[in-house]
Amino acid sequence: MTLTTTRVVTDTLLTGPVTLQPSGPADSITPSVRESYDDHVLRFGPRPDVSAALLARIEREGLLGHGGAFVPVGVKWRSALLRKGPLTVVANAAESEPLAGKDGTLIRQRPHLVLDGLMITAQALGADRAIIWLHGDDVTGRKAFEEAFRDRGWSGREVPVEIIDGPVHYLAGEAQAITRATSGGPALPFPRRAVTDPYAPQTIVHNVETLARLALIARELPNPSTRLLTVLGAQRMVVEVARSTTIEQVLIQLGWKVAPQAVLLGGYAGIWARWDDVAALEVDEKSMKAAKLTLGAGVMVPLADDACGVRVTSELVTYLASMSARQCGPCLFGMPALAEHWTKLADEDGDRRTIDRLRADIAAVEGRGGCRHPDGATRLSNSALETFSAHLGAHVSGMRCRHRSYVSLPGTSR
Amino acid sequence: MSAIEKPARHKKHSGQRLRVDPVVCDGIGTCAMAASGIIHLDRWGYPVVPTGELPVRSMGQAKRAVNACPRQALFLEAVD
Repeated sequence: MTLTTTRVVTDTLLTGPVTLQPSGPADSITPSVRESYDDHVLRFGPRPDVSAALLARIEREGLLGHGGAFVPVGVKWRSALLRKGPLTVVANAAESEPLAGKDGTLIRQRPHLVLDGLMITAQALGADRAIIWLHGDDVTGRKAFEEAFRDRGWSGREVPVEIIDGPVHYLAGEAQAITRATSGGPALPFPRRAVTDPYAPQTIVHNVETLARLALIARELPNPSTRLLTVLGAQRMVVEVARSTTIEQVLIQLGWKVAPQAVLLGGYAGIWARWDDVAALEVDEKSMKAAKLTLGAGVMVPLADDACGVRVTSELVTYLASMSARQCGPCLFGMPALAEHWTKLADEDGDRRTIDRLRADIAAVEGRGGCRHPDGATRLSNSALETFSAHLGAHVSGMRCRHRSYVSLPGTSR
Repeated sequence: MSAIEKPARHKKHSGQRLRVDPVVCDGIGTCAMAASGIIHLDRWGYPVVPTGELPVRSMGQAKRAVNACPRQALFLEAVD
């Protein structure tokens, strides 16, 4: 067969939207197309040879990390190039956020684009090994990569690649936890003490979507101006939308007929926002940031008008408390305290003083953890206190909460 | 107001700040006993240390707290 080099310009990362299993790894219910290696090469051309000069193009394109923190890729590359220790590059496919499914969907649909990005990074930075890091229960994700390796006849790999199944834990996909795990430690986030030895082994972790975009940029193809979103409504769906799409348009596209009362942005450790405040916002991270919000790894949970935000928040905070790294006092004791207050409020067992105690404990936990995990719970709590302030009033004043519809959140107790 | 600003009467700053490594800390509480003027314990017994630069007059207490910690979780750090 002769390969003609007619490149089909692609403007999306996914091969199509999918509906996922209600919880667990991003296994789809609806059919999902996996791109074969031949199709991949036909569409994008072969993987280009690269050097550290690629850094300039990455910075010109302004490529940011897509795992949720939006760290510029150029910044990570620069710090890796400055240091002299042996380098490990990691493709992070562990979406430990129980709802998130966009990375899992991407590796199932376009594993070769992700592998290209990983190999390009390894080659450009002169890495000694490359790792694909998966959430422990992501069996299908692992299969997608194994199949991709076989497809490629993976003989010409310049850098040894291994697939590692991380633990099944909320913190298993956190970049510092991965760094620690790949250098022989537990998969838990680091305490905040900086490494000073320039010859110390180093690890650079990129989210798989970042790597897919990098693989396009390295080929001088345009970086798709889209955003991958996981939205939990009646179903858990992954969609790819133009960055200029508003949150309202996303929900209309997904078949919502009635406006929700609020939206949880960014996942379980995310931010609650009132629907009226965010309906017209574009899903582009820049416009989110301008409104002092973030979509993180692109997770959205609209809260129906007749669902109780206090109840949902109590379940989220309880979940986050259960997913502690168990490393420090503020997390071990502070997070369960927050969960206890929220549960009390949700059960209508509390009064105004419960809210005061909750606020005091939020202040006691904020910024004092060994890692950022407790800060996620305080941020969520603060946004819930604000967003559901009126409804909280009903919960503490003996008027019974009439919101009876229930949001089924994967991972939480109910 | 005068045209020329007087230099602020600054308290003497030490250039140091006190930090606690929350992972190493076991909430034993000796630091709060050794330096009750600058460290207090939260309701779970873990120390809350001043976040900013320490004035020189607090340095004695800070050093006592650092030395008192059986876990060596407290340390002094230069302020950038």
